[in-house]
Amino acid sequence: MNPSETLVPTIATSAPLVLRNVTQRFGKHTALRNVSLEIPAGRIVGLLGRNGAGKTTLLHIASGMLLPTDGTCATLGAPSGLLDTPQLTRLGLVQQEGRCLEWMTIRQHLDFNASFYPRWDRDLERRVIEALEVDPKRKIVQLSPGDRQKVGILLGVCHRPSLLLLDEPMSALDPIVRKRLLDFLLELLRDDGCTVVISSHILNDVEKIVDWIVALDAGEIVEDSAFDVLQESYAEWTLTSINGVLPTAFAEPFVINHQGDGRQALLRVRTADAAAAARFAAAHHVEIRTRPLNLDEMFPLITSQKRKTS
Amino acid sequence: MNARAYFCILRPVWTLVIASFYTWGIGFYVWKICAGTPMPESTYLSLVLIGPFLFGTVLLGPLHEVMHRGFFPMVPGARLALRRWHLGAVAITAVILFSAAQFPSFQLPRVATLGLILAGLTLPLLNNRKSTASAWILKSGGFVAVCAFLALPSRTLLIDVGNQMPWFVLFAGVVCAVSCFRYGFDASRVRERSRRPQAVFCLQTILPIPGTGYSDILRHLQTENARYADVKKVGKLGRDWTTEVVGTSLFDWVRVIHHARFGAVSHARTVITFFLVGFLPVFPIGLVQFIFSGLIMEKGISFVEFCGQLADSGRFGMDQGRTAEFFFGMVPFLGFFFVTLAGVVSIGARFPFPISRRCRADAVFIEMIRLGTLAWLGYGAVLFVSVIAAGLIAGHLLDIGYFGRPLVGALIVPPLALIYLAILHFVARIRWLMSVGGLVAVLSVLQIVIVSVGALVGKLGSAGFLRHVDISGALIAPLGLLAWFVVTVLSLALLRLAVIRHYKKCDLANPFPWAKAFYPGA
Repeated sequence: MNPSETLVPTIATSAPLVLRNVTQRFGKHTALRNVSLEIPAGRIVGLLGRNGAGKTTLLHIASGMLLPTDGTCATLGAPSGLLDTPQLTRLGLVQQEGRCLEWMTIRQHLDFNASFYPRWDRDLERRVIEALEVDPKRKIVQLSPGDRQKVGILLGVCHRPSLLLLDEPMSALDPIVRKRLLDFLLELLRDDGCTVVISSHILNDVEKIVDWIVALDAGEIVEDSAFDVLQESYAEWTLTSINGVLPTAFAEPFVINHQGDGRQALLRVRTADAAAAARFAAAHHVEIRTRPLNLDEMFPLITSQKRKTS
Repeated sequence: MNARAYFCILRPVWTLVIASFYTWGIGFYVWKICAGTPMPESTYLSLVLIGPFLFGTVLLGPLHEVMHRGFFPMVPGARLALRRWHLGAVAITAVILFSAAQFPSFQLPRVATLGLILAGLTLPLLNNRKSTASAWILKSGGFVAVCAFLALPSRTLLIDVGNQMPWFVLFAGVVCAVSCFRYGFDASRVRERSRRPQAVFCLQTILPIPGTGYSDILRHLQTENARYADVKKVGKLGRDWTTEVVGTSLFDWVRVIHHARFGAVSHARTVITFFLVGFLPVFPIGLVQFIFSGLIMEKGISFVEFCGQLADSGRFGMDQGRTAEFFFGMVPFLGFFFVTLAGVVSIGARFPFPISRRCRADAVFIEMIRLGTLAWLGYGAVLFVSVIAAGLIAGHLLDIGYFGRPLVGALIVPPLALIYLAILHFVARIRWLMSVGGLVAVLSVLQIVIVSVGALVGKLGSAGFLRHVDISGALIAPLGLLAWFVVTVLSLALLRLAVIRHYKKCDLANPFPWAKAFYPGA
């Protein structure tokens, strides 16, 4: 039976993207394992994970390009396998290696795609072309990988989608264009209330715009939290011993990572308890200097959680 | 989707050019030559059977090209819009072909004509393009099937059915058209297409016309398909390099280059592979010959008689008509193709080996010669085995004379292939030639020359005055062998010079960027 036939035609939820117990297998390999996720409207979600964690598979399922082996996925209120014109006109997807019609010029391709979208915004198209520094007269086959990525972005956003799925949209872009793209995404969110799911390894850029983090590891969700909550809970503590030698290990469960010699130590911790540092200092007779972690530093800690627990 | 968008992807002018060329250039003439049917019947059947199939293919190509792009399933209503426009295009083409089919003096009832045209136009929708090879097999297979169907007595059957049950033919045509449309535009199949990693390009895109950017497209196609092929190769058994240390000698690096391209495959296995692969085209040639030459032109011939003719054709001066000309003209060309393919395939390894350009050129040259020789041996075996098998089936007592023309067919291949490969290397260095499409012209001319040489050898071999001349004996005599050896060594030296000069300046990451376009296995 076609997996889409097992889905209910409409799913009563206001969230633009809902996954329930989604599993995706490719032969013996399981790319996603029992993933459940609900992304509310108007949120910019950073989808993180190491290579092969299942990010692209998740986005392909969300966009209806791939039907899940098990479980259900609802995109813009409809089962992702049954997405039709009402949903697709509100959905944008920028693919990691999206292939276009190479013989066309950028202008021809934009016109071709525009003919399918009643809400195609020519003014927005012009502004994005300027921001991304694209020459519409050039043939796609003659473009560099970065320029092709820009074409993919143009095709994905100019119809003002309500849900925008971005799969590594910035991997081949230079820092200036990346910044312009991020500004543009924020503008899209401000103007249209667009929900954005962005998968990227350039975490310094991602953290400037995301307000929610979903992290995958080996096909399972290991983190699904607000970004500011993560920022408050992850920290780096620099310990200096007041008297005596520091222990080689700490038993506190919130200590994720520990490096150091007998006098000084560097701990990476995760705790939402504001008083934890004070209690820890008192218990171990140490002075603590705390520093919040950025997303780049948090990433290995987040993605290694599952491996540690297992 | 508006008309402008549809015509933008269809490119009507090129579609018309290709379709016209196909219908008249291939459909009509091949049909006329192969089957020898009267002109009105040929024209009519070209218009209602071969024409629609080819027109359908050409109309559908650009649509498949769009469907095989990742963005397609995300475009709202695109599948249904394309279906609508294709339906319109099919309807208009059907009307044109139907009108044109009224002119020849040979006619089936109009109702049957329409049914045949509809079926032919929509059959290409069954092409899933799961791989480039399967797409071509379906296209050419469909074409050959139609030709064979018409060449065999089934043609009469078709004409009888068309005359006696025209409404049944129309009904069958409509059912076929509806089923093909449902299959070709099915939502899940369309989604599946967009996820396939290999690039799909239609003829309208890769037409070698200066100014259309086709050389860029061709390069892109090669890169994409090379990447796809590399992905498929990963995990193939026997590709693991053993832990033995690579020495500094040239032959060590020949082994490395061979392994990088083919994995741990023994030479014996390579010869057997070439031998088996060599049979693939020889059997259809024999079959086609048997069907067309045997059944149609020389009616009443049995298979044993046919094998006898084939074996006899191995002797010089034995004029067995088209059988000999075709077999011994075509077979050296195929041998040539195999040997050059082996040569081009051996240079496909695109790795940054830690050796100098000169060393790499030498290693590639040796690998090319080694693989080409294996291909030649494998192919030569095919040639001789074919004649022996034909002789045994016919009950002939074979002597050395039977192998005269196979021997010439085999001996002519190495010098031709070496010179051809040398020219390829010289031409590959001329960048401007590639950009203006000159490469296609050069290669086409070269191929035509080679085919002509093959045909000439085939024709000459059957000349009556040669019957009493002991050519095979002269070839095997020391002087004959020496002459052949000198020519081959000179060709070899030319190739070596070409390879060394090519590797002096070529892009080592992609030494033959366009090889894939002409040699699918490269």
